Amino acid sequence: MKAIEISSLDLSIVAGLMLLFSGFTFWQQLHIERSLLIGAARAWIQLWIIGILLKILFHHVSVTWILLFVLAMFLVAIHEVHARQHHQLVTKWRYAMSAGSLFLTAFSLVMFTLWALIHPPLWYQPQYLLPLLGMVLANTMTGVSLSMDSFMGSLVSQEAMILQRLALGQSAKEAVSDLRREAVRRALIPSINAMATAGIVSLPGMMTGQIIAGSSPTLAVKYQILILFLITISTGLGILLALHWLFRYLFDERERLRLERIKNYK
Amino acid sequence: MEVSKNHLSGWDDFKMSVHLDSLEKETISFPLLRLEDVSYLHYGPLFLELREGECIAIRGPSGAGKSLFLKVVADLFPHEGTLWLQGKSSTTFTPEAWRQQVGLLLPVSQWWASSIENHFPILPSKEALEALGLTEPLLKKAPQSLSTGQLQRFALLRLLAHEPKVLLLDEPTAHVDPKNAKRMETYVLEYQQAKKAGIIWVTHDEEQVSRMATRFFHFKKGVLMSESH
Repeated sequence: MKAIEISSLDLSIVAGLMLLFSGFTFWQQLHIERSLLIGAARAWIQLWIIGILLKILFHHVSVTWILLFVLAMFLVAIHEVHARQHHQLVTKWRYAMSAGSLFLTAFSLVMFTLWALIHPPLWYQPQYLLPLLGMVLANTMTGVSLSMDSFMGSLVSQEAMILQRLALGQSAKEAVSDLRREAVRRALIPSINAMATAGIVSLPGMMTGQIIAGSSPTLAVKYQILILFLITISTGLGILLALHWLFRYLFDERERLRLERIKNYK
Repeated sequence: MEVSKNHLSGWDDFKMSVHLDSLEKETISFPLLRLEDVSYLHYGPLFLELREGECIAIRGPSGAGKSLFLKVVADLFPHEGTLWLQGKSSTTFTPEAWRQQVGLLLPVSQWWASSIENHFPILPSKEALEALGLTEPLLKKAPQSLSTGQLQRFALLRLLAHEPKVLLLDEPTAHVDPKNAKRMETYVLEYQQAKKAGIIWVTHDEEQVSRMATRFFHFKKGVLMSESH
């Protein structure tokens, strides 16, 4: 069964509904109509462009173009990790930290899955590589960003406590163990929730897409389980790596807390 | 083969004992704590020697850098120069070992576990608690249910549980009532005499200074100056 076509008119009707909703929020003085309209316009434009690009990539499968596409995905993800953080490190190495934690987890896990489990005709088969990597990368990016921000925020707000624990002869690792645990928990909760509620509260996006496109629900379920697990593992490992590098940077060789390495920490 | 191993280890032991002998002799002449050419931010160079069983006081207006100075001595703040404890540089200690030997008491103590007793490596004795006007049931309580003064007295016990050789006391009785402040002074003096510990005492309390310290310093333009009392 082939998916039922959606016409431009159908899309315009939904866009009209979005406009109506924005008008409603304006009338209610919620002050989000601007963000709503910009967000909607961005989604429309970005998705059209990506649709065109994917169409080209699917028809002219070229390893160079696909890898360039992957590189662009990574660069945007690395930028996004730091874009909305409340605390920023003073060093440019912050980009290396997020790049390392995204690449070593998301990319290698997806490559492993393609190579060892799915076996597409080509390892860079864009129909498999790009959607899988996109989903894993986006979730890992959010996790890494949340955990770094939460950990730095706790270090700043709990400075006196950390100093006290260090002064009593605890190691730096011991002194921040609670804060690290909390940062991991906060950043991993969305992934854990997604697994715990999958199929009950909602049908996850990838599965929905496959079912609409005509796949059998059993196959869609298998893909969904695979992607949920990949996302959680990649996010978890990405968080641990990012926090490890952050910890190494914010404590010196004498295990002294160096908050001056965070921009405007006071 | 075994004979030669024994022979080697015997020779090593001999060398070690000679080395330790000479080290022990040297240790006797070393001051307990020595700061050599220490500088940080715009402070320094600072030189200071603290002998066993000695208490020195550091005075100066608020913001003069007294608290930061204690953090430097506890190796909690980056600095240039060398800190020595009984002739050994701080870098030969792990940071944890240094901070257990050179213990810092902050003006407001911090508590992270659910009960007071969970902060102690070894629980304080009944006598120690009584000497500071504390009781055993308080050990079971949550830190937030105790007064600042009670917490500060527990913080002193917590610090001394590691038996530090040097005590860095940063306005330790600033938030304690006069009666309990006296108890803390007496307790510190007894510890100092029993362990021959050295003390650097930062305070604004002139009377306390004259009761506790034998040498006096103050910060002047970022340099530690000796003063007569």
